[in-house]
Amino acid sequence: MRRLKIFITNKQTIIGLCILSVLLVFAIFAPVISPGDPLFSKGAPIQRPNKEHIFGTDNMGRDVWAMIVWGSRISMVFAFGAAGISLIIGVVLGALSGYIGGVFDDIMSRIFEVFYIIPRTFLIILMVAIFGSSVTLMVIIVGATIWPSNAKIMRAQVLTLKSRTYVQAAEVAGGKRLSILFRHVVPNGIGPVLSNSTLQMAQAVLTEASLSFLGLGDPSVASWGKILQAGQSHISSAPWLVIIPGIVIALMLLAFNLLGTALQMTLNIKQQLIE
Amino acid sequence: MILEVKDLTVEFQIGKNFLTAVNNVNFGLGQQDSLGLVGESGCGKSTTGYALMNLLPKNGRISNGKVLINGVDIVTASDAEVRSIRWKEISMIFQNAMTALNPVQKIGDQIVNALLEHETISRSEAIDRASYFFEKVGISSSRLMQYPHEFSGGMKQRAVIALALICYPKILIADEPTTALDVVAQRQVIELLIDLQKELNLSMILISHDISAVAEACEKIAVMYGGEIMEIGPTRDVLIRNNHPYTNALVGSFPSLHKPISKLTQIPGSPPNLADMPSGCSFYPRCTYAQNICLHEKPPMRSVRFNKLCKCHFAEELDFNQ
Amino acid sequence: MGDIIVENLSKDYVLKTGFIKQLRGKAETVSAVNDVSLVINEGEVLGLVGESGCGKTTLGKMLVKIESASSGTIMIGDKNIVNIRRKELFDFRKDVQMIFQDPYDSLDPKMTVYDIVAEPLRYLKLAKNSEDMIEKIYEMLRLVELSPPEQYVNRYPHRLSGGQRQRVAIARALIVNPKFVVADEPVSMLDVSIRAGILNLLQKLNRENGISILLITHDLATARFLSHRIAVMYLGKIVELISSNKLMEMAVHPYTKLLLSSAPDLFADTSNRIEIKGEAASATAPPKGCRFSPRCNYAIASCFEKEPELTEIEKDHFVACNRVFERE
Repeated sequence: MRRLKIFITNKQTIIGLCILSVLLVFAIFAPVISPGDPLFSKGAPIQRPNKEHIFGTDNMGRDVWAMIVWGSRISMVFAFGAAGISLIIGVVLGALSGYIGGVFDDIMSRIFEVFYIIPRTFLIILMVAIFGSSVTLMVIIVGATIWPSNAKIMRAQVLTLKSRTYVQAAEVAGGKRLSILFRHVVPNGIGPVLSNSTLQMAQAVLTEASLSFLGLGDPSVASWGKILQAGQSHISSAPWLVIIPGIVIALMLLAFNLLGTALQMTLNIKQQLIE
Repeated sequence: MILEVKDLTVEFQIGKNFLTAVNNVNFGLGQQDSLGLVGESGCGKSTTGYALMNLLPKNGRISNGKVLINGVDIVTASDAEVRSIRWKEISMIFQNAMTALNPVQKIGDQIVNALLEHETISRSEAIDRASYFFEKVGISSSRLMQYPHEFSGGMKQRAVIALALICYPKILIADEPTTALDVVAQRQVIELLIDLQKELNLSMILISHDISAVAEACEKIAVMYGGEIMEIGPTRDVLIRNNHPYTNALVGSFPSLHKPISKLTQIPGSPPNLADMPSGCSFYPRCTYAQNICLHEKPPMRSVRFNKLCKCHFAEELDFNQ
Repeated sequence: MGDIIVENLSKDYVLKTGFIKQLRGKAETVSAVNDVSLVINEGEVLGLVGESGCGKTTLGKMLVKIESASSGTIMIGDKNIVNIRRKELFDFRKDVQMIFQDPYDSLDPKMTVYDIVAEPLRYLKLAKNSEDMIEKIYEMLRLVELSPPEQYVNRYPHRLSGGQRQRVAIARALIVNPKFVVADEPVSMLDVSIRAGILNLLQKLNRENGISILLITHDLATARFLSHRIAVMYLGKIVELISSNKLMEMAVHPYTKLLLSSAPDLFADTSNRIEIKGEAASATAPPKGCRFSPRCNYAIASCFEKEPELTEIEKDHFVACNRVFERE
């Protein structure tokens, strides 16, 4: 509880959480904050920010504010969806690999490395070309390609934790190997993986933005990358089309990074407190 | 007196609070004297050792008292003075020092470099000195050019002793020098310290939780509890004919090979928490002889039989014999 | 459950060697426990004494099946637990438990005292229902003198002192009502003033509950205090087995005598101690012949060639020394 207090009272945590909660409110209450379809034209194209459209409109007359609000939804889905998938795959495979050891560990480690070097963007472009661009598919692909770093961290954690006495004690208490792994080893070693996950959330948001920017995003949803794409050919005449989504994306990445650093710091303090 | 410790008080800052780790400790050490500091973890025995070297961690400070080494107070001494005293007048074997040896550097090089750091002599002189002290601690000087992993635990500890003596100090502080060692190696280290003390005219302070080991090596002993010295005097008179209930309980709490097997004295409660010290006598909550006065009044140090000093309201009445 | 009979038990570890050496099949092995035979009688405390690296902990871990044996048998009743099946392991855990050396590492920092003590009950399905479990846990905490239990059940290990942690660890081992407990250096990490309480508790458990205990320790005085018999180990072998009340007068093995004479003791006469010869040998390259020969003051030429057998020289007194009869 002392650790939680340290984490919560950390300046970085507070700033990170503030930014994220605003974006989360946008994502959840988008229909209330900005009713109507954000992809619908709301007036003349390329309007400067004004009273009616506080962030202006893009080349098709769509309200940028509405796209920002609705776009936070898609960014959140990517952040939590992809990082979540990556967390589950990474923790399970990394933990098993480190715990079972031997030849299994050798094989798994090579698999982690293969996944490391898969060119993600290329793979996604390929999949989008084959299956069409749907949010679900892209979240799954991103999640299923970024997990190796989680797996490697988890594996390293398990390697140091599995020789701890309380693991042997659980064995003497009658625990089966798998339940010991997930009851004693993983909970004690997952901290650094979680801190890596916040960075992966940032990574997923960025991936989504770049895909939309390249025009590979799901055409039926509003996203920040899409505003950027619309803005790129009007960058001199309508710079707000690039600056505004750029700032929002940067803020979200900043928030995740702040949380990640704060989490890591708290975990290090924890070790000092125990010793 | 080569070393005089007067009213030494050490505080540590933890968050916003100051904890008193060493509380008003007094003792003196003459030439060739040996004093044992014993007690449980957190009793302040190691902190006392660090304070004598003026080597406290950043959050610690000597808030009161003097440490006179040959008449110079190391607490108020200038940096230059401290440099001329530390390692040359007073030296220390740190706890776990043997695990702190650099694993990728030859032991001889580590000793020679340490020596060159402190004295302006030639490298070959330094090597000669290192060989001399290696032989002194019972290791062939041909092993100077070996790495730490080629040494057994006992040999590493002896090498660390050589390292501590390399500048010919007059006072040696040894913090838990036998703790991580096996029984036979422990005995070798203790016997070595006794021999070196005589041979090199050393004054020695031995800090340990192992009362029996200290008893073998030291003429005088001080039993510490909660940052204070509870009983101090000639070793056997403190340990066998105790006047303090804590000394008595402590000695009775571990089995001996040379006594009939009987039930062990169990000291109730837990070792004291520095952040939450009782008012009055610090041993009061665990003491079987405690009276009302112990709760309210800190007992003064008083002299008792056999030239001992004892911090207990009832020191005169309590004459224990082990 | 009956006696525990260990016969010709060995444990070899493969040393991590270079890749090339492994390819050429030249992996080095270290024999941590070498051909050990001994009996732990029902209701007995057997002290297993030796220096670090002598294999005493490995032997203990083989008895609780968290370390597998390389060869030999461990008979408990009519079952050889060396090659016990998974299903039988379940029942075995109800009878045989272990107390570990380091109470700062043997309790999961993320679990409360209640969950730690409840764990064996859950795994081995020994509680009828949740009330039964609570009752059992409270009773056990009272037995290990953590009372009132209400004060302790919701605490995490970091809020307990070393002595209290070791009591929790003892409670976890005893909650399944085991008949045999391996106690690996149960007090060596604890403060001196706390040790007596734990040792007295173990003694009480043996005397009143009839639990057999294998007490692993480096300290002969502790072993003598708690055990009925004492086995002395040196580099993977048992060199002497003797009843505790005879230890001081009747021990004959030169190693036992060296330990007895070297142990620091307030009440010992240190004037005529046995001389120490040589440096401690390493388990990776044990000496030929009698493993103690390089350090032995009585070794003759044959001791460097012939490995001595553990022989009974009088009732319940076994010694492994080539010169045991000669010297008398």
